[in-house]
Amino acid sequence: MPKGKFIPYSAAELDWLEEHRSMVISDYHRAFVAEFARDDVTAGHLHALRKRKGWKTGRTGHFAKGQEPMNKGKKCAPGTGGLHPNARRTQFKKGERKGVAVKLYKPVGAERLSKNGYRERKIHDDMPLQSRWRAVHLIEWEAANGPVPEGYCLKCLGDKLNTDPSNWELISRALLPRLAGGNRYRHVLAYDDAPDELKPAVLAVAKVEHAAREARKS
Amino acid sequence: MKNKLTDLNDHLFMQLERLGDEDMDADKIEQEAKRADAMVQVADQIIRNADLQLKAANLIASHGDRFRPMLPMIGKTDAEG
Repeated sequence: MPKGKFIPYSAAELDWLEEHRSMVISDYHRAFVAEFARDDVTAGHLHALRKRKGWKTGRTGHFAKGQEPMNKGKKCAPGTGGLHPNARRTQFKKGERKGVAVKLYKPVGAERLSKNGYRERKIHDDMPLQSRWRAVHLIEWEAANGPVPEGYCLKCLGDKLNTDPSNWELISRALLPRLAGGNRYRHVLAYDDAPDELKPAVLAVAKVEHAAREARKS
Repeated sequence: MKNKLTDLNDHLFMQLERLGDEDMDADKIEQEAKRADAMVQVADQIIRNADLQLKAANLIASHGDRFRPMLPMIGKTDAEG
């Protein structure tokens, strides 16, 4: 078929094509050729005709929720695709660590300084990734006092790097907004910005305010 | 005069104890809560004040006496008389 040549369709053919427009394109083409014995029309031509005419097929091309992929669980033929020797060569083997990961790897028990200045320790090597590191002050406090109750947290009384349980106080999480400066206007002095001499007073004020709020509730 | 920061902390903890008292009727609770609110406001102001004083002292400690005339609240040295 030369390029850019008009393909004529008779009225009967167009009627048939419009009536059967919702068929899948390969079946559509096959049925059309069987019906009218046209050897000059390809599936692509019919597809273009259908789009030109604006005939919708009722299919979206989306995966419906819960629909399984056609190739789910299937392996490709040996020696092709992901099983091709060149591809296999660059794939990770199970339990293998290489490349930059070797340099970055820290063994269990290693310590690091978090972005917020707390000491963290690696406690295991499993998934999920985020659970591998735990704050050292939490580990030590829980070893001494049991788990932190729901709705409470630990606040440091002085130096963040001192992980001794005596340096950390269990406070209600309800104090945290005020200790962070109240609101976006920072209308109270934030605990972490306060000089060490004022920290006890800032914490005590937050506690009194919280206690008053709680007393009014009861 | 009881006007040190430690005295402020003592006051606050006394108020905490009063608020944590078990046998209070509704009026008493309201009264103590009101008192606590007032204390919080005053204490906030005291803390801000102390913060400012510390900042001023820091300024003079780190930059010398050039700034002393601008910080009358720090007080005068004997040399200025």
